[in-house]
Amino acid sequence: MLAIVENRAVDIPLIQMALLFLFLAIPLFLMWRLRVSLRKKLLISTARMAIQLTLVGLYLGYLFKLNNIFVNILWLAVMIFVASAHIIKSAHLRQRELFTSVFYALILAMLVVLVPFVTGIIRPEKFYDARYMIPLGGMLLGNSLSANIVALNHYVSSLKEQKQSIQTAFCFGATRYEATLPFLRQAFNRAITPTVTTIGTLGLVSLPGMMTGQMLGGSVPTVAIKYQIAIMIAIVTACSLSIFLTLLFITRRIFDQRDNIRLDMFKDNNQN
Amino acid sequence: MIDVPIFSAESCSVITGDKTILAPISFSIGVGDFVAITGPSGSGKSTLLQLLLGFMPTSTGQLLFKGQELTISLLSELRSQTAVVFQEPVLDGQNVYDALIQPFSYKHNHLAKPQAAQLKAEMQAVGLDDIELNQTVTTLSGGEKQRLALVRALLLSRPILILDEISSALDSVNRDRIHKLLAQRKHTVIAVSHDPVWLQRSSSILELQAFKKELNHVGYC
Repeated sequence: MLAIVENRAVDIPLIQMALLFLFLAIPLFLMWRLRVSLRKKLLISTARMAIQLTLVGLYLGYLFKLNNIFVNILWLAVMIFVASAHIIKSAHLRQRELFTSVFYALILAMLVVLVPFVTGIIRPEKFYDARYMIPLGGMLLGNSLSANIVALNHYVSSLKEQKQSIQTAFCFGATRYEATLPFLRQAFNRAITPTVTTIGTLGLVSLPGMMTGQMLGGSVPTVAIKYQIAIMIAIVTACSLSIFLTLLFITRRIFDQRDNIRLDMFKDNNQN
Repeated sequence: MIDVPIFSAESCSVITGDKTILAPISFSIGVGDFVAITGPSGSGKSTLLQLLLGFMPTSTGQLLFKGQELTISLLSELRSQTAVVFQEPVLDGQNVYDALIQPFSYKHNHLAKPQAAQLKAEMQAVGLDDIELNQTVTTLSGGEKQRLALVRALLLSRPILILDEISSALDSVNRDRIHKLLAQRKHTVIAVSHDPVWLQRSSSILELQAFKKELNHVGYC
């Protein structure tokens, strides 16, 4: 089991937290000076972040204290549910028809990656320990979410634009998987490339958030690095698997019986 | 013994919403026929091809493939006997070889994968003698791409060829060469064309009009 050194990070008093927001004056000034109309959005987003994270912090504190297997699994399921809905929404697809495709893909990816990662690599005393299961699951899901949005957006727009190419493939005897493979390959490539690139530059260009957080929290750098290496491998695995499964499951649903793209699956079905 | 027509249509039409995109049409296409489909823009030529390729159902009437109604259960058989060349073909792959061999990456065609010599022979037949197999596809002209797409279709040795305006980017020499080549082979050819010479040399002409479709059949009927 990886050891955590119990040196707490220096707490930030509330008054300092309030002062922190003064930093925002700089981006707000720049936006005003450059006439970039993002000032309102920045203020709203910052306020949202503060409220959301405060609530999550309170909730996670409760969750860690409770540390119940069913509650932990339920919370993971909620995170997967929200992530799936967000992916479908961002790809401008209809929730009712395609939600389950993404939901099942994320669940499978989490089962294959998160469960062995926690139980076989981290090995906390309780395999369902909320302190490990929830934040690690959140990191895997967060990364999978953005990768899946990129992949799905690219994939469905290619399918709509390349109608003739797909029809030609069907007429040449291709299965749905074979006919869509070039587009699946492109989408996969585009979505996973940032993660692969990030892995290659970690430590040189940036110190990743998890590692920095652990060191601030009191972990010695060698332990923090072990965690960071482990999580990056888990992230690239979860992203790859979830992208592939999402695209595969979507492919099964997005064609009609005559192998046409179902335009009714798109929110804006006027696009051809 | 009378051959069962490859396709026969009886009052087939396609209506989407309240719009008729193919007015009722009747025709019969037999084995070995060389049929030209022609008509003004918006007369439903592309829609008719979509019907024949099974991507679209008829709204009214009946379309038969080899005597059976062309339902979803028959699509696999239809498409195992059909090769298609669209007006602006997409040729996947880095070079000419990849583009030609691409359909043979499908499990259905694995066993029929042709040798390089066959590729060269078919390319020669359509006048692409000077194109190398390792040449990049993007260096080809529109007409060369169309002929290459035709080679790709011919290599599959399917009995039915469906061609969408393949004569549009060809000069008269290549148009004549390809028409002659297709007529010599045993394929049933269904080709959308506006080229008067191509129409004249076809065995049947299916002439579509905006709201009146007529079959001017000079061959098999």
